[in-house]
Amino acid sequence: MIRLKNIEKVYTTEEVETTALNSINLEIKDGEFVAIMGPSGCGKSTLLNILGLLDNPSNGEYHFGENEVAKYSERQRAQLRKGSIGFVFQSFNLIDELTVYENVELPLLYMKVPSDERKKRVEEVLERMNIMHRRNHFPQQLSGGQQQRVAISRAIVAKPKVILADEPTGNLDSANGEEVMKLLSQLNEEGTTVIMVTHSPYDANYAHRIVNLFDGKVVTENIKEQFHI
Amino acid sequence: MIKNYLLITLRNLLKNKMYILINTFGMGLAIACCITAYLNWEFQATWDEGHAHAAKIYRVQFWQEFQGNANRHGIAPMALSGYIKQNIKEADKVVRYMSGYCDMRIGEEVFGDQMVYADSAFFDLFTYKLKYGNFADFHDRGKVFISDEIARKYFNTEDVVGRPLTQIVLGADGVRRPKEFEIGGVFEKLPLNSSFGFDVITLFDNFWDVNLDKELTETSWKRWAHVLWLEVDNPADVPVIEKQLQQYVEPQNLAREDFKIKNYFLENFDGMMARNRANPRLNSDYLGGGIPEEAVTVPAIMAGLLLLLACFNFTNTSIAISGKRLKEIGIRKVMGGLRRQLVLQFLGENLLLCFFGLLAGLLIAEWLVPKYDSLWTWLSLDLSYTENAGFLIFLIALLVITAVIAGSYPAFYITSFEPVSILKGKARFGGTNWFTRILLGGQFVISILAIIMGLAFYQNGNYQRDYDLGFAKQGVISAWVNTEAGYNTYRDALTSNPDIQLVAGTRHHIANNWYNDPVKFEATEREVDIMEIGDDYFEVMDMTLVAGRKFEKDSETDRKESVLVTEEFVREFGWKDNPIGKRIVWMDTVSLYVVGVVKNIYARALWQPIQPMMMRYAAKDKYQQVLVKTDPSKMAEVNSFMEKKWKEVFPNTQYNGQWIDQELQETNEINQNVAGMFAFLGFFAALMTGIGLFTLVSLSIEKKLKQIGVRKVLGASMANITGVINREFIINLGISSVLGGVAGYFLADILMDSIWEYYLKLTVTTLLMSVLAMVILAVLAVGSKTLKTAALNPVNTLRSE
Repeated sequence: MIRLKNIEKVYTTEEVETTALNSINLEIKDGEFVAIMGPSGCGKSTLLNILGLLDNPSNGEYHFGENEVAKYSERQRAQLRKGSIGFVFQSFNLIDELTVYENVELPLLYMKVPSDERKKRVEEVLERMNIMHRRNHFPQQLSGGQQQRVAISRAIVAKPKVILADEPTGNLDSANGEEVMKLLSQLNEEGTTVIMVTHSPYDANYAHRIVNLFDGKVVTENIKEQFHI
Repeated sequence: MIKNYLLITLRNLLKNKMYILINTFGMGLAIACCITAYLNWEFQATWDEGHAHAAKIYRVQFWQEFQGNANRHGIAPMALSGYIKQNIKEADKVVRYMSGYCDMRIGEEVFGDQMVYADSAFFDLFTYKLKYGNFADFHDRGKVFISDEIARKYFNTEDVVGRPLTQIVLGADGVRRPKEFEIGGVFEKLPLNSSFGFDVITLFDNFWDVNLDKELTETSWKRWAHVLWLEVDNPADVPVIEKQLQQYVEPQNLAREDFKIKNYFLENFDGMMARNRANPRLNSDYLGGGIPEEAVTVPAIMAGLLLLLACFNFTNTSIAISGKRLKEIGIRKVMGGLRRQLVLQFLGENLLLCFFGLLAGLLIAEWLVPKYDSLWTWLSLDLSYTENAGFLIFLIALLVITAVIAGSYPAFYITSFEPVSILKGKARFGGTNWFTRILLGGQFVISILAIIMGLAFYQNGNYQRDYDLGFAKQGVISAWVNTEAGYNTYRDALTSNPDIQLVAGTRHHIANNWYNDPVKFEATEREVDIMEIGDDYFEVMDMTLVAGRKFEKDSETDRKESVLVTEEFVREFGWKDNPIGKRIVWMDTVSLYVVGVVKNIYARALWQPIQPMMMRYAAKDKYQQVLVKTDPSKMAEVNSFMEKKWKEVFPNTQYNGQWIDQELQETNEINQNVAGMFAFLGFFAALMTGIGLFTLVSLSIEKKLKQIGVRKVLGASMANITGVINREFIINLGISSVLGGVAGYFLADILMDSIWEYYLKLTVTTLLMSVLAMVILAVLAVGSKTLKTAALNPVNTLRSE
């Protein structure tokens, strides 16, 4: 599904050159749930951005499915992103001016899904996330847990192959956090690949595999025997 | 997707109501000004439009050279038309055109108006819509054609063909006799932007019945037809006709050695007004006005500046507001939205905002257009959307141009951020950059410029009002009595009123007529203004004698050979010694002696350079006007009294009393109007700049909060923090003040110079006052925000950072 080979990301300013990722080799198979961990500044988010096609690596190869995407233009990345990858963020990142329904509908609009189909899929996913009763509310009228459920709804409505979650429970209390993790697990069980950046070992436990990063390098990969909490 | 865009746009707009309101109003005001300026331009651009044969119509004009100056004249020798008809076969039609004020009577109603006398082909040349009657009847000298306006006014109906109209004709014996006409046709009056504003026209033959000038005959080379029109079907014939016309230079110059013409030329009617108004402006032009070029360019410049200002403001505030939408941009990009789509989304939003601005503009224009129209008597603007395709195209173009100017930068700028940095909260928005600084600087410059212009014209208004023109500027009423008998009768009728301090008779009057002739002193020849004045004219007009004496009452010698001259006259002839007793020669034969020197008289007010003037003592039988001197505060009462007495002694003629103030009114009007217009521009420009400044300072503060917090922790004073926040704005205002000051100085000077010969040059005080006004506004706009920020507890700002 995803294969990274010698991926490097270097940020260059006028005076300093910072290597955020250094020779990352990583393979993620279809249907895997991978947690990426590591201390602040180790390159977790940079890796996630590259995996999510939000950013290009400075060097190396990135195979997404059959495609070598490392040198894709912003336009090509956007095309690939919109059907294949769903994003869940720590701070939800819902558009405040759109209702729950409209926020979830947004990816389908960019995919030019016809309106009937759109309605069906949005309602399905809202039902599933148990947020249908809030469909006409604006994000600021919802609790944090509800907002993240909306964000997950938006991430999965386009039926992506991969969900990238960047500290999805970071802004939630433990109960809501757990609910979100269960949802991600469930999606993974249904076949969606989930890649999650987290600080929390507890959340990482939901993953099949934990990739530890330090100073831009993969230091360990823990493959878990079985899923437990 | 469009629904999604619209929803988000509307919700965003509702969130920022104040911003929308301010921008919509600012944009609306600018657009209303643009609409007014467009209509004003269109009024000029469509001058004399609608004459189907305009391309074939030519006016005979000529060049005259005198003392090295070339002048164009719009009159033509009276005899010329006959010769053209006889000898120049390429001229297909020839029409003489004269106009004169006369009294007319319809029923019991006496009114005074211009009557035009034209040859029978007049209506073949010029396109008029005849509402009633038949053009063929214009050939009948017993008939007169009147405008629908006059018909409605005096008959209460337009269908008045066959009804009588009486002209009151003043005979050479001073007796007024009725001349009966039958109304032969009623035409639709031409709009104000037309060379022809007359209401009554009749066949040229009738002119000879009102002509009192013995020298003015059909074959006279000494006298002039006001306008001579030709119709030339083949444009290739124009140079042929012009060439043939030159053979009539000689007979003309033989008859008028004092007024020699250089050559004749043909001026095409199409676009004639603008060409004739261009420098050197056409002299002896008996056709209706035309618009000064400045009256079109100044409002256009003002509207353009205001629109630019509104766009700047729109751009700056739009960027500020968009800062709150970075997250949306990031998410849209993450969801697969392309930058192109986002740019279009934001441009679309700006277009919508500009559309609101346009709607506001149309509403404001409903008020502004009539208001502007009422400022100028010669203007008539028509705010009609349905019958003017050009106007609609203008509005659409205005909308698109405004949206592109105002919306492009925000749309491209805010969509340039990377989603990663936005969603990580690293994208910092706001503050200022070179672009926003230049926009703000532009706003400062325009505001200062507008304030300077407003102040300059206001001060100039006062200066020109108090300018010593060398004669009384109020307290004088004049009326045309045409004859000595008329003068005597009316004077006797007026003497009973104690408010009338003095009554004078005169042939000429500074306010409305004098003539111009060359005068010789030894080898020097100069063209001078000449007035023939009667008893007490000098006193009534409050002129000042600086040397010698005035005319002695009833002195035949003075009538025959004495003149009073102005200081300018003395200067022109270079007299360094005593001018009294100098002998000058007029018309090559008449010797005249200077008996007194009068303080300069600005007969052309302040519009044109002062000309040398000499005054002769008029015999009583030459009196044409009566002048009454009264206390300026009693003008209205005295005028009513004069009107009452007029009706008693001249029941068949219209009272035509004119206040001296009226003659000078135009100068005051222009000063007041231009000052008012720039005050309007200055006020709104400053207001919008204030808002723009506030927005930018707020953004800047947001960006500098951490710095301010750290500085405060380290012990910075309020003054230091205020400096940190405002330094760049102070520098910007400083540079803009210099630029705006220089631009304002030159613009005011160029504009005033193009209108007047004598005006108040801009002073340093005016410039400083304007800059000070801008500084005060800037302090008001950002003062409280700055102080509030400077007083913030650093704990809060650093924590939030």
